Amino acid sequence: MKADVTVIGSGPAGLTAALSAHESGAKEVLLLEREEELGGILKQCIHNGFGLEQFKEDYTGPEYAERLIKEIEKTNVRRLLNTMVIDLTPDRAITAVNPEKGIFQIESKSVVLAMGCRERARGSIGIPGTRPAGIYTAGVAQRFVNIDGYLPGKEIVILGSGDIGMIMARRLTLEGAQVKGVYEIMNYPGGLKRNIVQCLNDFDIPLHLSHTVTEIRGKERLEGVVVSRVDEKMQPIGGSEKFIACDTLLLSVGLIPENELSKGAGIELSPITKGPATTETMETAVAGVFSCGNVSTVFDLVDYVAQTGMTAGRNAARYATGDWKKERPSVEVIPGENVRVLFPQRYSFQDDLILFIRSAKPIESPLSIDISPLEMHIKKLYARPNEMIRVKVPRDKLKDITESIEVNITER
Amino acid sequence: MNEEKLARTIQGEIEKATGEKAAVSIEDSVARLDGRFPSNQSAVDAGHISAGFEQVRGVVNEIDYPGRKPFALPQKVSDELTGKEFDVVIVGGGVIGLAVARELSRFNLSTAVIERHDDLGIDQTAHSNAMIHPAIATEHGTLKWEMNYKGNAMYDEVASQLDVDFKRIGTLVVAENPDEEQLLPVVVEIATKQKDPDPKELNRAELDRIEPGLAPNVRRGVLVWNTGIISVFELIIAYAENAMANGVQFFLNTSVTGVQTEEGNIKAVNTTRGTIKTHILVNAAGMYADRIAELAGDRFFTIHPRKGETIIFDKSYQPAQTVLTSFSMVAEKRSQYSKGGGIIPTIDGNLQFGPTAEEVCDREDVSTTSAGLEALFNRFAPVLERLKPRYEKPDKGKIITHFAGCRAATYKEDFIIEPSKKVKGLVYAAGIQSPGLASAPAIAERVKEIIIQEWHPAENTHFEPKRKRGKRFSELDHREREELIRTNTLYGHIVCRCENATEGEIVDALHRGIPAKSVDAIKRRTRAGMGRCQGGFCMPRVLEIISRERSIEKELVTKSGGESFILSGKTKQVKK
Ligand SMILES: Cc1cc2nc3c(=O)[nH]c(=O)nc-3n(C[C@H](O)[C@H](O)[C@H](O)COP(=O)(O)OP(=O)(O)OC[C@H]3O[C@@H](n4cnc5c(N)ncnc54)[C@H](O)[C@@H]3O)c2cc1C
Ligand SMILES: Cc1cc2nc3c(=O)[nH]c(=O)nc-3n(C[C@H](O)[C@H](O)[C@H](O)COP(=O)(O)OP(=O)(O)OC[C@H]3O[C@@H](n4cnc5c(N)ncnc54)[C@H](O)[C@@H]3O)c2cc1C
Repeated sequence: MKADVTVIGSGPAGLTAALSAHESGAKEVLLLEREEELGGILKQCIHNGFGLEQFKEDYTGPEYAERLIKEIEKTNVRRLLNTMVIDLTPDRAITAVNPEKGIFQIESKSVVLAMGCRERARGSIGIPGTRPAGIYTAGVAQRFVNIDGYLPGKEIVILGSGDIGMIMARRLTLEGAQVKGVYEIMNYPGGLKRNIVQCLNDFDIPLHLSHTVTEIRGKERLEGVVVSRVDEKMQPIGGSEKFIACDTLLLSVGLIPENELSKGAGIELSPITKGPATTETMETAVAGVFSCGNVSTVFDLVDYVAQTGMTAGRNAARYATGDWKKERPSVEVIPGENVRVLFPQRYSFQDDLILFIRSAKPIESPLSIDISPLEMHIKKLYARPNEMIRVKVPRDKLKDITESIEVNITER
Repeated sequence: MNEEKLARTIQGEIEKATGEKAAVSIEDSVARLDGRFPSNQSAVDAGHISAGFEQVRGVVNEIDYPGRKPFALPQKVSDELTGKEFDVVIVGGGVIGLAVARELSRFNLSTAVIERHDDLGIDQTAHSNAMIHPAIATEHGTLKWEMNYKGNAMYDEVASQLDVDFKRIGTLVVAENPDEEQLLPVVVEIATKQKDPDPKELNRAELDRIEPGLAPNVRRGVLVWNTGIISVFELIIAYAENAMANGVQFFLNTSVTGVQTEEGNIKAVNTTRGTIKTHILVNAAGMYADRIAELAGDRFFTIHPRKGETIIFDKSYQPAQTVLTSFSMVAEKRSQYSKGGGIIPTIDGNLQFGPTAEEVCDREDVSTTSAGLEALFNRFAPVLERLKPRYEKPDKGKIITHFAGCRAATYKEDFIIEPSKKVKGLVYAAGIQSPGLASAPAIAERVKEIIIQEWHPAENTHFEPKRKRGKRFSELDHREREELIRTNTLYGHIVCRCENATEGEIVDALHRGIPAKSVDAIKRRTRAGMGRCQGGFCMPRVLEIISRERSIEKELVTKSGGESFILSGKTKQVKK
């Protein structure tokens, strides 16, 4: 099978990338999705708040996905469902499997990675104790409730204050379950402010910062957890243990970009974002392979995801149609003081540079985001690790850069 | 020494060591301890002290201590098995019971395996490190040692007949300085004496071939090459499937709750699902082998659970090709009764650190602790970092799971493989702690010998030693995958994306041989859910497939049998 642009994954990133590749003149666009429907993780996010920026509408996840899917359906973008990509080589040969075609190869002039992210599970955070039923990632619980129509449990403790966990706290409360509390190891919340207000405060669900689960109890089904307060080094404080009876523990302890394929293709991953290091065009270190959405870095908002998808699709189309020339070598974009996450990692002088920044710690006083060597200082009233900051640096301001671009957050 | 005097001596020794007074009595070389001690550890110490006397054949330890778990027999649920009759009943579907079942199926004996859980091997066997130990570390002259070296040598044939992945990767003891180099011939000598075949001293070039990237100061080492690693879940199922194909019957979810004897002969076993008649009872009940002995009126040992914790790393971290051992690890070996754990690769490409060794109160205690994790990490990570400096550093972030299991240790700390001295028809394969897995084929053979000597069964001329495992998508090349999907499209649907397990394999596991019933049983058979996301993605899908294939409501699907239900009911607004 041959294609101009092949997009792997059909979440908001992949859908947008496929549309944008099509609109940018790629003739044969192929969209591969391992699930039986398009839409990615949004299909199970039945709460609202999607597309405020992109469509100026307050959609639920499925509505948002539906809108993109409708647009895709009007095009000749070829969609293969139930199709899992199992291998990608550095020269862009894709191997996929599906029940109808078996194993097959795709040669594509360019490739867009849009595989999204997965949730961190119990093993990777090492909670000691027994191994009963009743411990799920928040996303699994979300799928049980929203897609399958089942309740994972009745008395619930949530570890981690990620957005999915908070959204599930509200959802499960509405379904009649008792959510006993959300415990967060950091001294600031992991998710968006609006979710703390709308999902926890409005339902009187307590959020305990600087707390973690230190033991799991129960033989067959979970019987309870021990929670402890932690010190500044995030170590449990002896004597602060408290047993909380519950039959379910939901983990909302972070998302990790899904990069098995990228690794196989020899694509350099950023140790910070855990996704492919890309330029502002979303091109990875492997020529002709682009990446976007949560496979690149975990974004807070689907609008940001879509924006990277748009860019990746457009540039993948340019690459495929031969309209791709790099006039100058790219330069590094380096996170400096108070910056934990910075995306993209390189600048190649082809587009405006749209930076996505997460601060290293909560800063609740006025600050400035300094972009050097440009004399660019963007003033903000606060910066929080759980709220990504987006900054656009126009292309013409960057043309004289020769070495690297550094981003610092300075408290004023 | 007469038994009364011996009892007094033992009592004195216990008091000297623990400061506590135990009531000690001895009858037929079996010591019985009573009293109340301040801790489990002191009670265990009393047991070990008593067992240290050669005239003591076994120790029944009834010393009470805070936290001791009372033992309760499970309730009877039905009578459906009443009326059944077999020549042999094997209590316990761990690797030992299963290996024995297969061995006995070579004869014209009707055999049943009774297992209390809803799947096989999930007490000790599944919580082991899946290592086929060399005999170098077991105490010379013990039954353990004999079974270890004999069993190890049998594994090539067992694995090939049963189609189980098995690889001899070797234990590599490396010298880090000239002093340690001097000791290498001693290692060779010990291994040879222990009957590990042909241990070899290696120079740097030879080391580089089997364990690349060692630190520059490592110049020589010894390879005890017969150390193997095996797919232990596959082995469990393989033994069972092969035994089944040769006529053995399996009763899962069934606990033995009583043993009926008549004039000193085995007559029947009572179970939670009825009474089964038999004249031979093989006690392979692992953690509860002492209880079965007690039920048969032949109490001469007590099992004391010794917990071991293990941590497993993601497949992307593979710094060791062998069971890599430094002299510092050997020197530091903590407990007198365990081999001290190690850096052990698995056949699936995940590295393990483990196991720890801790005496615990509860035989069912398979909980992990942060102390265990820290101990393992702090013990082995520095060694690995030192021996393999060019590799990525061990990182707690790469741990994908942490588990624990209890070893079924007796105070004699040796295996018991013998016919009962009191009850005719009762045969023991008890106290099978580590290296019980490595010893399993030899233990099974020994049990078989005991049985044929006494009962002379005729050979089963239809015995089929071979078993083939189901197809695994992840192991096939593209062409084979094509073919497989063409014959069954379910193999074209990947359910577990970490381990590339397909719906075809899952459906197969739900129907073949000993059918998987729970999510964990599927995991053990297909690896779905065993990868880095630990079922985060595939668990709801596996649940759905189980519900569909077994025609049961989703709410009734369990994680691991019993009441371990995954869901608690339907939501208010059910869409479908
Ligand atoms: C459980 C969960 C809940 C979330 N809830 C919210 C929320 O409420 N609000 C919000 O703004 N964000 C939420 N997020 C974040 C969310 O991931 C993003 O907002 C957005 O969905 C990311 O879009 P994406 O296209 O990058 O990834 P996804 O939507 O995850 O799409 C990736 C797609 O790629 C497919 N895929 C992956 N690998 C392969 C392969 N090898 N072959 C073929 N197909 C493949 C997947 O099946 C999936 O359909 C959630 C994330 C998770 C994991
Ligand atoms: C942490 C750890 C690591 C280990 N690592 C290794 C290793 O790497 N290599 C090695 O060689 N050995 C190892 N071992 C030892 C090895 O696992 C055991 O020796 C071996 O599995 C014993 O098998 P078994 O069949 O006797 O016991 P089990 O697997 O415990 O089987 C006994 C079975 O009997 C059943 N049962 C008990 N009572 C009843 C009843 N009343 N009615 C019905 N059924 C009953 C139980 O449910 C159980 O399934 C390890 C052990 C532990 C704990």
